[in-house]
Amino acid sequence: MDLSDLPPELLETIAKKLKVQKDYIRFRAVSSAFQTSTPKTPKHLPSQLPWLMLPRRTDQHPDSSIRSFLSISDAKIHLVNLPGDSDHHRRCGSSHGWLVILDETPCISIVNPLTQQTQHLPPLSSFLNVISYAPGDSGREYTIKTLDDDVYTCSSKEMRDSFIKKVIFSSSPSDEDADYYALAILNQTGDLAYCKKGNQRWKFIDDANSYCEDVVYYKDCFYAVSKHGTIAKCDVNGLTTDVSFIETQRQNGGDMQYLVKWKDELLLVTRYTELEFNMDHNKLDIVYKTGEFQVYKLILNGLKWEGVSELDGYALFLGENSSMAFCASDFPGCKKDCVYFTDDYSEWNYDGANGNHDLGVFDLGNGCLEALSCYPEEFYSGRRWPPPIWITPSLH
Amino acid sequence: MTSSKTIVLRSSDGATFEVDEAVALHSLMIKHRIETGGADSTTIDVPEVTGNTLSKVIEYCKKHVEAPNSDDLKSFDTDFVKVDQAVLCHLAKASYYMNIKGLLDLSSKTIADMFKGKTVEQIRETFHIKNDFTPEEEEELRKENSWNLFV
Repeated sequence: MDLSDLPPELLETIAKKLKVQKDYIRFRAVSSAFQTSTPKTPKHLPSQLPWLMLPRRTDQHPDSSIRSFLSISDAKIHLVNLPGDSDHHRRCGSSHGWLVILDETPCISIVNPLTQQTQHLPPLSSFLNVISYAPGDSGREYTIKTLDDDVYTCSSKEMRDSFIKKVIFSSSPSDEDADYYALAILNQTGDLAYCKKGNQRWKFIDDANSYCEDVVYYKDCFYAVSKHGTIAKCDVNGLTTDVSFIETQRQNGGDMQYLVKWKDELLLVTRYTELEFNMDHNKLDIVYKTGEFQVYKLILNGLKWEGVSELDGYALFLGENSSMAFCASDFPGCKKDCVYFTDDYSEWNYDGANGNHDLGVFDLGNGCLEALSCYPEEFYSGRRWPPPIWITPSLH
Repeated sequence: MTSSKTIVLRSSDGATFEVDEAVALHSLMIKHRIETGGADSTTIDVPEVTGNTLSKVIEYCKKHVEAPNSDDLKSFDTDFVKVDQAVLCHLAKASYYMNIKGLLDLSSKTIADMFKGKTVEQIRETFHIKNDFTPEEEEELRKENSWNLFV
């Protein structure tokens, strides 16, 4: 008896037991019976283990739009065409398999590299604190007003590199049946702003200022964390935005905070960095290097963060991407109880900065930090900007 | 449900098996046949399944109906699917036709696990499947997955 003799619905049932995208694609390529009995778009697939989107190659032609994505499962590099890509682009987020792209215009575009679908978010000039945008006024294109009514100007490059820290989505922009919300963390002011698919402008979430370390979509709300580990829970679903607070006991220490949805709970991850001084070609570079991570889970009784020393076999992926957790045993090549991290402190990552990237794997169990063993140093290091970013490859 | 009523199941090759009604009802297909077949339906034909496979299916249903909370149910299931490929496929097919969800999940997951991490060629070899794509269709497949997940 041949598997091809199985009824199509049974072949589909078997195919849907496959959780790794590559396995599903290969299943469909075995024979025509396998192909016709399974849907092309694998909507059943859970989020896939992230690829690392590498910087543009040092020997890459400026007009080439091919980008390299490193799969840590098998150390393979996948080449994907990202239409319109150039040296002048920066990513300020990766969420549900979509990249959020900024360039030297006010335009904010989002793209899924695997499906090549593109959409747009409201432009930079639509944030309420951006009073005007004058493309001709070189070096001072944007005029921005602060909370204290001070006014300052900003160049297109500065705007691209440091206005927005991170953008995440509530759900996949690929989903035609649902409207997603996008939430942006603004760097300088520490504000949160959001929009719904199709909106023309970004709206500020007034009470959530300073909850700007990281944000995650959890149980139908955006949860944003402050430097001290307190949380603002923002419900943007209704006609007005509803913000409530989880006043946890204050966390001290650490340089950056992340919030991750882990199984069905929230984790707080604190990143500790050290300053390094690199003297290279008589130029002094000050770079940050991560020393360790500490992980905490939320204890509702007493509202505190309790340290954990292992992640129940999960791995975390942190950086400029929306923070993610994966069960390591579901994906070959993924180490368990580890934090995979990349750079994301934008004030030190700007066009022209030098030095190697701060990326690697931190083992929570033994406290050891290692470089990412499969990272191809040869073509991708030296220029610090733009840093690599984790992205979960998604066909839907 | 302490009925001691028994049902006879007849396979495609004429083999008959007498089982407790409660065990037989584990198959939703048989349950439907009994409920719609009238009072005389004590013998049910299962033409899609051979005697060998039906015997194993009954063994599965018996265990799951008579001892659903037993501690060794998980190891029973694990051992149950340690069979050769052909038997596994027959079990999957039978559980599909007889609408036995637990066995369908178990057998299809076991088959799926045999696909994990294999290349397309390795899958064809393992399961003895012929590549029936035309060269044009293969080219189309390659183009669709242009980031080269095929290797």
